[in-house]
Amino acid sequence: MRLLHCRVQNVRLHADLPLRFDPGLTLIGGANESGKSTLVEALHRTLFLKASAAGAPVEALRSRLHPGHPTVEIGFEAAGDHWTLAKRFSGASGTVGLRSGRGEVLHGPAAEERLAALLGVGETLGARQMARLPLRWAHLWVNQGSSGDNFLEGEASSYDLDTLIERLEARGGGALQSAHDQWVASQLDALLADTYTAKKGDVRRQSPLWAAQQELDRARTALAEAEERRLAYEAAGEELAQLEEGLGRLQSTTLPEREQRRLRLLEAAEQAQELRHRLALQAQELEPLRLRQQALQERRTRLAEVEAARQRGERQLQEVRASLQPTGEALEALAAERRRAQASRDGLASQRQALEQRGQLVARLLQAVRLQGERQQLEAAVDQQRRQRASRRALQAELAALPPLDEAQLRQLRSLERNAAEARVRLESLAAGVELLEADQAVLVEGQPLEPGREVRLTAVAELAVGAGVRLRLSPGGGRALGEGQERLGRAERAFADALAALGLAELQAAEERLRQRQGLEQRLAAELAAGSGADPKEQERRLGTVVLEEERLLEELQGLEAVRRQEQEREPLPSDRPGLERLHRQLQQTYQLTVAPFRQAEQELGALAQRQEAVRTNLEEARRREGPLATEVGFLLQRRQELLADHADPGQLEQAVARGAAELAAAETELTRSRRALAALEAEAGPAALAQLEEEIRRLQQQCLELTARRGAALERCEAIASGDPYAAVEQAQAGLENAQAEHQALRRLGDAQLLLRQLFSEAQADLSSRYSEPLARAVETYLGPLLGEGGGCRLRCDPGSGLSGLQLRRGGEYYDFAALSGGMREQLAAALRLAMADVLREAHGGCLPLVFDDAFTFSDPERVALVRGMLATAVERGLQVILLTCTPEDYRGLGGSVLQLEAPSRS
Amino acid sequence: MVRFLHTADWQIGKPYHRVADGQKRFRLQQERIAAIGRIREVAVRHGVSFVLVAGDLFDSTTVAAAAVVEVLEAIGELPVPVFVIPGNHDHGAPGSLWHRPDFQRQSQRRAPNLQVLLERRPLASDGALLLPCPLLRNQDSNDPTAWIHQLDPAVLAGDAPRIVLAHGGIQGFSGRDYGADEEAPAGAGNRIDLAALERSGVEYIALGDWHNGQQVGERAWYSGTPEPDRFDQGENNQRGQVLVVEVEREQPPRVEGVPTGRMGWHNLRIHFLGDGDLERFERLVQERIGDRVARDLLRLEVSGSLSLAGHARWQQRLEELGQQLVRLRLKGRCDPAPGPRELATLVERHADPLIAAVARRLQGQLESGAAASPDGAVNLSPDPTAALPPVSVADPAAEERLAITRLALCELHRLASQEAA
Repeated sequence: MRLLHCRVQNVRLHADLPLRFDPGLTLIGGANESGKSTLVEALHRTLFLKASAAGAPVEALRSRLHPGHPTVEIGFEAAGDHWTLAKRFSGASGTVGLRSGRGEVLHGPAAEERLAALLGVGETLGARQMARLPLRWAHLWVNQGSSGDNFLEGEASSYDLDTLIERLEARGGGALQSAHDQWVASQLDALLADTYTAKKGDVRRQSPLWAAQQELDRARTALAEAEERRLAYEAAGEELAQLEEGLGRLQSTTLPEREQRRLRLLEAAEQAQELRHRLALQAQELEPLRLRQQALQERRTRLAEVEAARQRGERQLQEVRASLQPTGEALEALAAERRRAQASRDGLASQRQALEQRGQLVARLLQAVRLQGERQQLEAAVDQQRRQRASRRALQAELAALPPLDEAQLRQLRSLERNAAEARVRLESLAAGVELLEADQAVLVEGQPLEPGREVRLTAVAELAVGAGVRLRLSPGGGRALGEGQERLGRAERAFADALAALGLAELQAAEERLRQRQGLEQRLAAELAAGSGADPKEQERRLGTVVLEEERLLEELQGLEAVRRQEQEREPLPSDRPGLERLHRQLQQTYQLTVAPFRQAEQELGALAQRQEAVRTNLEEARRREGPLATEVGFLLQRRQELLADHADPGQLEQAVARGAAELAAAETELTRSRRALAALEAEAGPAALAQLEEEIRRLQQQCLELTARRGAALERCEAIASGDPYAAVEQAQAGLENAQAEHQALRRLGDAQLLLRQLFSEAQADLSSRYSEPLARAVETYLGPLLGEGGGCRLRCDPGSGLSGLQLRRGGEYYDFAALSGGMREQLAAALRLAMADVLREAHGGCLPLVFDDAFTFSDPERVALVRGMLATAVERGLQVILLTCTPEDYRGLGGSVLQLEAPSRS
Repeated sequence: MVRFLHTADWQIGKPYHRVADGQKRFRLQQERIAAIGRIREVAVRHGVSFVLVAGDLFDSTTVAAAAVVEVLEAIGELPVPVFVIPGNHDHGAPGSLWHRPDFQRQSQRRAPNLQVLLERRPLASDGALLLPCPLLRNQDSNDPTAWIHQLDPAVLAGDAPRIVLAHGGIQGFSGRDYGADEEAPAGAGNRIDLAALERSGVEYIALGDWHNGQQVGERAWYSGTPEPDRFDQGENNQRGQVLVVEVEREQPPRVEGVPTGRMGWHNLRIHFLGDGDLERFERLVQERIGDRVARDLLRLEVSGSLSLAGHARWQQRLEELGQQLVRLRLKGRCDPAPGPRELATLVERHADPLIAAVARRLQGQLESGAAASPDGAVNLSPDPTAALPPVSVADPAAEERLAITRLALCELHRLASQEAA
């Protein structure tokens, strides 16, 4: 089908618009509101709407500018012929005419019917079918504003699915599922529905598989029960066997053994009684033996003690006697030695005494010399002091002769003199000087002429007379002051004169001379006093007295030592001077010191000897004192020994008797111990407690026997009860049942699985078939989109013969995107590509061509993409499709060839 | 010289519950009792002095009274003494069958020649010295023959040949749990020290427990069961026999096996690679069983698969065999899977593309699954008639997936060949 030309009259702004379409591309340009969309709408409605239809779409065509009904004429090529379609839309009275190139003319419904057949739609639409109008050729014609819509979302008939599939099948050779295919698939579904629930795929209750499962569970339970029963039987049998064995052991072994032991215990008890009697007898026999032995042992002990004491006494007596003689001799030797020591000591003593006397002599002589010196010194000092006292007294008399004057009185005089001098100076200062330089007349002052060149000093009011007639009174210092000064001077001179008179002096210089004399005397007196004040004169006189007395006493003592002195003088002349005496005195002292140690040693030796002598004498006396009693005791002990040995000849015999007694006693005691042990053993083993315990055990065992017998009966009963059901056979039967159930269940389950597998494969095969339709379309879309897809790009969609095309997706960079998720530009480009691809497939059913109308269909595409769109459109035209492109920017598409038309917006008047 | 009959493991009272058919089960049970009659014939024919039953005369200690009466009746018809020891199945614990009053009463009345040896002590009888080793407990880890080594040597002296009567496994050769349907190792109880026994100088050791007759020592034999009671692995086991034995003091025994079995217990394995193998199976069955009815039991181990049509025939044949045989025990699986022609009707169904596609997918899964499990049962063995290794269970989960896939293909075939109503 190819559009050839059209003429639109009285349609909105178009009064009469004739157009001729290019077989390939027709580019219709025009500004906004130049009627492009109106043109498309008019063509679409004319092709698909009955001329007699009424309603909004028809009313929309009506023009307000131009009178007359909308009338459209379309020339087109279809079914190998040229056709001219003319419709006038005037409501129910609308007319249609269809004329073929061969001259066939149709009107009314026949024309509409033929038109629908030529266009490949079921029918043209009437007033009641207006809603379907937008679906007509929605896959070929793009209205303004719907370029980005996904037209696959509409119903399948809107894009002529049946023809599409038919054409695709014609191309690819594949066929849809057959009726038998569907029937088998539905049979399969029915079979599965019998066995499985639709929702979860669980096994349906009461289905054969369910029943088999139940049976299997039952068989398993039955086998478990049978096994349990068999095990119960075997356990009962085992218990029975153990009971039997236990009982047998009790009755045949344990109990008889216990009984025998009881008899043995009874016998043992009798034996114990006998033993106890024997034990008592043995104990009685033992006592006298023990007493006798005790006495013998005692005597032996005593004898040993006496013998020991006697020997000790004898030994001591001998020792005492042996010591007597040497002690006497030692005593004599000691006395001799003592005498010698005494002589030695006495010699030393007289030597010491002589030394002492010499020492005393020399010491006193020395003293005498010393005293003499001291006395002479003292006498000289006393004499000097006497002279000093006389000098002082002379000075004191001289001082007393001078009138008294002291420093204060002198200062007073000086002060008075200074006052008088000051008063004189002050009076002097008040005086006025008068000097006569030249006078031709006499000049008298106070009467005194005044000589020229000579100055007169006036200290009081004076009268100046010049010549005669001139008299002048001069008052120096203002008059009164001069008088006061003269008065003060008089007072001061009087006071000074009075003071001098009081002291008996004529002038101040005399006073100063007198004071100087007095002070010289006083200084000399003080020097005298200082020279005489070294020692107390009284003390020195008293000391002198003492020294004289001591000298006298010393002389007396020396007279007492006269004999010694003479003796000394004979041996060696005594020095008379002090150093010589002192040297001799030191020598004597040293010699005396040398005699001290030997003397003390001699004294000590003598004392020690005396002590030793005393000790030896004491020893001797002690020995003599002990000798007697010792001898007496030894005699007594000898007598005691004789008494103890009265029954036996000698100690050896006594010893033998003791040993014999001990052996007898030991033998008797051993016998007794043996008997006791035997009794203890018997009592431990066969005592009443052991017997009671054993009897208790026997009772317990007998009780156990009874219990075991009862339990054996029960076990036997249980055994027999289970055995009557032949548990082994039952197990085998249950096993066989389980095997059958398993086989049955497995067969049914496997059948179900096989059917599930079949259904899955059917679904997969159906899906596989669908791709056979969608794949060529997707590839064609990819061809149109070409470079826009880029690396890894592609397109896919699903085709279901029943529900149509769906799932349009674009793959970019390995990811698939839903149509709705694409950008506006991409959406309109992809939709255009799909339209071209579908038209490409469908055109075979329309005489090799279909017109595609794009009304402002690429508004979102940028200039770069517009170039791509141009390529798409050029390809479509090349492949034989007719493209009518309406746009406000026709320059974008120039260069594609084909026709270019321009709609002018009519002036609105 | 003493001649006697050595037998064991009569397993009277074995319930055979896995045999679903009650009549056949009864027949199997009866056959075990009937075997006593055949033993009697052997005893009479060979003129034995006594019969030794080395344990497991009964299958359990709880055998029904009716069976016990029948057995006693049959034993009573034997003209010689019958010495029995309890085995592990019919052990002599208190409360077991041997102690039951009905058994003791019926035994005295119907089989006075029967002597149950419940004690481990020597017994001189009919020119021989019997050394019975009864099992007295269900679980007993002791060697039941140990008591013999503690005997006073004087007891073993004399001219009479000494015969040990014992039940249980021996070193390196253990008994089996014959209660189970399949072979499984038994517990380590009742293990007999055979070497020590032989050193002790006895003349013959009569053993029970191992159902195949076998000489296990210079002087030791398992007699085997007189009437087989289970499938065994492999053929030509000496089952279904008794031993006639001649012993003399200080001499090696002379032993002769005499068959007594009647029922045929067979094992077959077959791997189906295609419908052609059905003919081969038929030939095998003919060789073994022929047209004999109610005398045979067959354990059939199958693997591989058959076409749908072939599988239908196979099922038919199995049903017939089930009627003919006393028991048909099927092990393993022979799954139906559409054959090449059947598959083609699915895969090449152009009119129904969905069915064809699903069929191709399933076919692909089968092929890749088979390739993925080279040891699996679907592996095509180069010689399917040869004795096969047991069906591999290398990867049970993969095996199960394959089975389900095959079944799915069968289901698809079934549904596709139906017509819409």
